[in-house]
Amino acid sequence: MNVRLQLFTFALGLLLALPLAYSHAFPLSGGETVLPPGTELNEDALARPREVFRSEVLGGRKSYLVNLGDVAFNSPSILGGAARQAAMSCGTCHVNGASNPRLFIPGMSTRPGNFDTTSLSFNPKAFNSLLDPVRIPSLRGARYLAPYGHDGRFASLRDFVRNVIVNEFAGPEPAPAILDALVAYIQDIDFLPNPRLGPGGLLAASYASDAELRGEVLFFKPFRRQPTLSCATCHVPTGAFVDHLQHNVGTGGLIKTPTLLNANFNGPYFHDGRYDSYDQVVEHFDGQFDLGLSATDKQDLVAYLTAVGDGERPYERDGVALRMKEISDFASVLELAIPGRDAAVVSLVVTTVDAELRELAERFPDHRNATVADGQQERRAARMALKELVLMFRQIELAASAGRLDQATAELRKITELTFIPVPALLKKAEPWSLFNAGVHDAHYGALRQMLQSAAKSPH
Amino acid sequence: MDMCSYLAGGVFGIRAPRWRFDYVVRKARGARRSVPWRPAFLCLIAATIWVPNAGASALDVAAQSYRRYLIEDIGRALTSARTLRERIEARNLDGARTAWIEARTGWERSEVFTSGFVPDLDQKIDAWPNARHGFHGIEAALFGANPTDAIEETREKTDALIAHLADLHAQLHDIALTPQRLLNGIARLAFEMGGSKADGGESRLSGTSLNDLQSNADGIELAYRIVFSATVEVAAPQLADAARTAVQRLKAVVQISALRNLDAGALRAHSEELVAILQVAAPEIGLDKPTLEEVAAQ
Repeated sequence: MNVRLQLFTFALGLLLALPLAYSHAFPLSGGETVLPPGTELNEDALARPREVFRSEVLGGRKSYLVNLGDVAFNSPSILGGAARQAAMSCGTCHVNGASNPRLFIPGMSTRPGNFDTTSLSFNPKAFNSLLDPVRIPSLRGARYLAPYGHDGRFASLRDFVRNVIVNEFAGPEPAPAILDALVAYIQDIDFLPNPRLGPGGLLAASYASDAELRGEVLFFKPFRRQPTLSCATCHVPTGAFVDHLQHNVGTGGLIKTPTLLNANFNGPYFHDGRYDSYDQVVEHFDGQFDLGLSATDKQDLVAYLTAVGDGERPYERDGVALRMKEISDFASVLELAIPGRDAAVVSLVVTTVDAELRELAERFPDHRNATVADGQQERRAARMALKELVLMFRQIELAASAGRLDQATAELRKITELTFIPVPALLKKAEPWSLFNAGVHDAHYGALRQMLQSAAKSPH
Repeated sequence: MDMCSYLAGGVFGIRAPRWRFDYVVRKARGARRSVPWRPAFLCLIAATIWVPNAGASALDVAAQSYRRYLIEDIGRALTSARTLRERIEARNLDGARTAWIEARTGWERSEVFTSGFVPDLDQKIDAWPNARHGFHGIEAALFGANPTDAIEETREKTDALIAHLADLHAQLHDIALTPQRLLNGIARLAFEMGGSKADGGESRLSGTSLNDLQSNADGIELAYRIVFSATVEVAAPQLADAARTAVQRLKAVVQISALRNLDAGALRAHSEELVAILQVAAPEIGLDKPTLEEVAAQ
């Protein structure tokens, strides 16, 4: 049973990993970029972390606040300085509320997946003359993971989010309603379900292998030199595998206990992202606390951590359906913002959706793109539909700002009808010739990379 | 909604409601101004607009007058491409780079025309992303890592570019310049400019993406002024003010020292505002709303 399950898990993991193989690094290059040449934001990835919302898991729907928070989270306009100029948003680092293990910004990252939040480039006021990047954490389950920040310096998620916006990314003081919304959104991002864990955070025996079960025993076993401690002392299985405290584990000061839930997808590990694998993490603790683990013990602990850190369908294939769902969710904010005469929120939504729609339109290559030959009519129709939507959203902003709420509402109604079936149907028809198709994607980015490679060593 | 009309163009087949027009008029700088007196030329245009079936011919005349500017701009691109070829032959790298940049200027000013009227040549001349042929193929070689070796590579690519530009230049004398398609071209280019980001842009290897944007804005201003401005002025003067203001805003937002200083949000807003105005203006001058993609010959 266990062997079959392991084989199934392996096959499933392989299947889920396949889309990742399609995605290639696409670093920025050239001399005119806001971010340094060599920057990798991983925006061309075809596999995106799956986002699970607590409100939907429980059978409800995302609230206005959650959707507004999602909009703000994905809007560069709430940030300032270089981040805003480079069109970065919170979602650039926390893709779909998870992490971004491939993000790398030269001079601010020491490895993919970490980032110096006190660099000169993003806010001179926060610059501390140190290259001290921290791992980009996943926000899944953040509601259960206080305090906030890698060292737990903020008790309140709201304070932490404000600090990120204002101090780390030089943004303007956010409106209280926007902060509330951001907190509501982050708190609604749930952990991916993990059927391998049962009540109390114990392994579900029917799913667990012998190695995993042995690893679980070791996890609870007191350290031989500090018998009041075990792994489970800090990573409390009944409590999201955290203890809400900071500890010195030999990595340079007091660091907050990170959760182990869904951690398979949260690498690199430790606060600065110094380790790539659980093997290295276990090795670190064995050395630091003189645990005296045998080679088998270490393997068993890694097996246990892998079981605890698992999650169902961690990635989703990027595509028309996913994008249109996101746009509809964002647009739903307007249903209350327009009658509420909230011009600032209307503007934020329109600006954000506008950028998303334009970005989506670019996924359907135009006639100048020689990397895709077929589907010209379909791509053209898709692009046109998306461009027209952009203009309709802009009309909503113009009407709402002039106080013509009826017209703004009527325009939104048309958009809602169009985005329900007609536009997704057009996009779906063109999808085989879009950048959502792995072959087209690779040909397009291959051509782009070929161009950029010649600039990599350019004297300009 | 009928999907055929949806696909056939326009804003999903939805006519611009009056309120949009009102809005645009109110947005015009200086609010409602009286129609300024213009020379007899404007009277003539006014007469043709208000005589049934004559409005289109006034625009047709204006569209014809745009031809010489197009011929000049593409001619300039062609001349610079030939200079580029000579400098490649002379192994003058700096001179070749300068000639490439000069050739781009004429080309980018003509984008109002090129993508809609001659899409096949547009792809051959300005394919993107592309390191093999056309402007960007030559750019990759001239501004890339091994420009000295690349001099050799660019010879053939430049010959092809010259041939395509010469082909286009020859076609310009006879090609039918319909006002509708020119309006489509202006709207499309204005919309596309709004998608620009401060991330390096299309001509990132040469560092001239900002030049491209500035030339695009110049091209939009030129085509609007030569072909549509006078007619809109007579048919809907307040709208003409709004359009002029929107064009100037679009030009102003790209008048910056470096692409990294681009206010992408403002550019996007101005670009969409101009397209919205053109969509409202089109029926006022007897045209259909401009489409944002060329659907079929019109």
